[in-house]
Amino acid sequence: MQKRRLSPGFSNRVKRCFPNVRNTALLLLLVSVIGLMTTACSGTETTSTTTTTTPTGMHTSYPLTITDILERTVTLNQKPSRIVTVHPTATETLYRVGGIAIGRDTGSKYPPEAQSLPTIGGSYNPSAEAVAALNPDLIILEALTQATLLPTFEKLGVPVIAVRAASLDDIKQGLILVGQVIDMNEAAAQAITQIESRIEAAQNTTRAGRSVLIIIGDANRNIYAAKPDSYPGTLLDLLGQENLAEGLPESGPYPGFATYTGEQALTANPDAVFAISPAPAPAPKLSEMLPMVPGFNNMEIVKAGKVKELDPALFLQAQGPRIADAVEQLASYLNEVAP
Amino acid sequence: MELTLTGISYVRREKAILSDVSAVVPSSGLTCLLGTNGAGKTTLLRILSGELKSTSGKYYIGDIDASALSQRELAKYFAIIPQNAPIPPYLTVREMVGLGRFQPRGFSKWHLSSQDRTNIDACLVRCQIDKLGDRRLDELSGGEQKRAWLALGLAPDKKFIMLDETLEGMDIFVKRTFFQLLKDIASQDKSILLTSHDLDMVNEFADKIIVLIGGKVIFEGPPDSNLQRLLSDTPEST
Amino acid sequence: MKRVPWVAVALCLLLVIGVFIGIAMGPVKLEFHRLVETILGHGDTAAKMLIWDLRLPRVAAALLVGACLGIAGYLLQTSTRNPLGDPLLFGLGGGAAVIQALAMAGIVGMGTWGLYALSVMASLVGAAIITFFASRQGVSPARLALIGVSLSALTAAIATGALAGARVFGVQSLNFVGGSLANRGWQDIFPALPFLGLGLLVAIPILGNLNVLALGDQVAGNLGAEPGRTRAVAVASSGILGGTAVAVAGLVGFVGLLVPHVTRLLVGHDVRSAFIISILLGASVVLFADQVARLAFMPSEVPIGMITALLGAPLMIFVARRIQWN
Repeated sequence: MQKRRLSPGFSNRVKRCFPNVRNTALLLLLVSVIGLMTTACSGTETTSTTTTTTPTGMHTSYPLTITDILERTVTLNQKPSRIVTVHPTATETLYRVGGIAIGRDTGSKYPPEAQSLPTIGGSYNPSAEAVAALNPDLIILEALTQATLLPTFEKLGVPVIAVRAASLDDIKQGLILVGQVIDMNEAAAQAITQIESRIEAAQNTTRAGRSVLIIIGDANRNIYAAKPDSYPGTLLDLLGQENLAEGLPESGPYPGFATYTGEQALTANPDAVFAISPAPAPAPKLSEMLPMVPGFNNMEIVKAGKVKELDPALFLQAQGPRIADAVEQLASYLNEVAP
Repeated sequence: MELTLTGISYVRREKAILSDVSAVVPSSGLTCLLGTNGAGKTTLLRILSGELKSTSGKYYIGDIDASALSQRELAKYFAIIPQNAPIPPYLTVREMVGLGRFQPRGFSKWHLSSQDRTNIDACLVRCQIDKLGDRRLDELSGGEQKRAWLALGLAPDKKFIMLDETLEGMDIFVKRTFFQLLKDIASQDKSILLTSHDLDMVNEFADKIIVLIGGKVIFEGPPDSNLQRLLSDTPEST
Repeated sequence: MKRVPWVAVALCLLLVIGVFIGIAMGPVKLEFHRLVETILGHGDTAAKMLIWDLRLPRVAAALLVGACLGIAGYLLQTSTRNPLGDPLLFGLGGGAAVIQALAMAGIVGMGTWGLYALSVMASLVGAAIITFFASRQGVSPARLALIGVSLSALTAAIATGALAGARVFGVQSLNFVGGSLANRGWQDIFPALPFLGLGLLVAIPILGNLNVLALGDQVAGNLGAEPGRTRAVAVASSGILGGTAVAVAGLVGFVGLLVPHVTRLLVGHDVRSAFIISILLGASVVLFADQVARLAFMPSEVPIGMITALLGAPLMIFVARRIQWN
């Protein structure tokens, strides 16, 4: 087909250079492999210029080149003063290290100071135009759910950095990174210390070893349980609880969650079950529906009516620096329902 | 029981479709309602069966004031075979005629009694389709299908059987046979009212003729060889 | 027809097999001896709960929904003389779908009994609309089907809108649109039984008339079969049954459309045989479709409506080439 598109003269010249089609293909393959290797190597090359830990008290000097949580190299020419955050994780991380934003996504409801900011759409489909209209000099987004938006925002010609909160380490890294970017390194370090000590304190208030399920449901009463590598699963792990969803294959529409059928529920009798109901009122809460779901309605804790609802924002949607709050609350709930 | 019409009129959208129709349909025999298209024949049949209400006038079945009865009550007296009778293809002849023995009262009859079966067979014989009893309707010729409909009309044992232009479109030989069949059936205590616009056939086979032109009865009586002349003399009013 | 008892027996056998599959097979392995022990009454608690609380109610729900849809489709097709008659296609389940959506969104909050009653009443609205148009002169079968399709599309849009507006959707709308019998318990079935009973009770007095309707409204009326009233009652019954089916399982399409045609191919047009066979066939179809839906990709499930569509569409084409209708 290629042959038809090129002019006869060109194809003849090509044919003279590469008298054999197979040789041409091999050459092209070689070229592309070399090209790929070069770009791959160039990606890892720059790690030497990044710092993942900054000594306290140090000031940031600009221009600054950093590596974000997706290992992207980003350069900032000066201290950013017009920051737009398009995800609750990004917003809360920024404010936790003492920064402020000029625009946020509609899902970012914390801290209260952020409420009055202009919004640029939901975190699942933010409007690049709205962001551009605010004339930012830095955009912060979330790595797990918003990675696909990177090209869109990079096109705005503004530095974009990604943070993530899939683990406690991620959160710490995010705080350090943003702290460095806005020259609030000391605040970042303090924040990390506070979070760590609060978590440690919470761990001491409750015993380890309970069997727990954290579940979320869909409109058809299918139940999904948070696996250990999800955010709620991380919280359970920090408190030393046994997650009954461990080892189950990830399935269903929620990343990090596994389908938990009524049949599996039949033989399980966890010490505690927590429900997350993301749909706003007046949609029914999952904990209210559990007594009607076959299999689940046999669990002792369901029969006792002791399934507690976890705040969807704190435990699912706004993963980030408030992990300490989440751990504290979970510990106190655990003490309440399964002393 | 005779069917007596007195002064039936039917006006629709300021057009008088029927004007002061009075006639008598005897309790047995083949009565033919003759007239051109649009003369009001079908309308008259619809009024008789209770489907339409006349604008004025009454009709009696014996002594009973039929114009006061509902369509459901009138159904007891009239069997109707409509103009373009639909043919359910999946029914056999016997099944279709069996539907005529349908009893609407209370819970519907779920099965046919032996008397029903005898009755059905008799109807088939009278209509000369007894050999076709188990054949499907869509396997029959047009004439045979019409005879099946006739048998259906006979099955419920009603006093009057009304056929609306049933014979139109038949070829002349089939038509004659059918006319003869109707006459034979009607001679045994059944009253058949048939609409037609074939004067010659009607003159030959009918026991009584009612001529309707422009919504008015212009002739009522036994077949008359002078009818031909009478009809050509009478102007047809719109 | 002499064939009828054989067909009925064959379908009953099919149902028994289906029920067995429904109880014995599933994501949690159940050894045969435990199954037998539980049926005989002395199984272990886990097996007992598995069978009685989990699998059996789902089997019962499938039978219920299938019976409802089979009869509803038959009544609709016969009374309107329309080969495309299907309670969902004609929008008779649409009202119920809207109520279900509102319940999921939390806008309507009442117990299952009230929910089912409301669903049925909403379906009757659709039934009234269809009855009105079906009785008019000059409404061809195609036109009636079109009215029904518009009605069902409208109600589906309203239902979807209600769910989306309440942000209940997230990423899973499949199970509502495609219908599902997952997680159905006894508390979903018991309130539906009276409505199934009601639908049947309403239909039984006019069943005999249905045979006569084939002769056309004028002659049927003349024979005393009251076509107008028969049609209204049949469509109302279809609405009650269709609404109940949707309330229990969501929109499970094609069953009401296909079952009457296959029934007629098997046992002919006589209401007396077709009625019973429709029930058995409808129940079988939904029961087996549900087994495929829940077992094919264990433990994930496929919406049952997808299975019935995959099965129903090609079958419908095959049947359409063989049916004879005036």
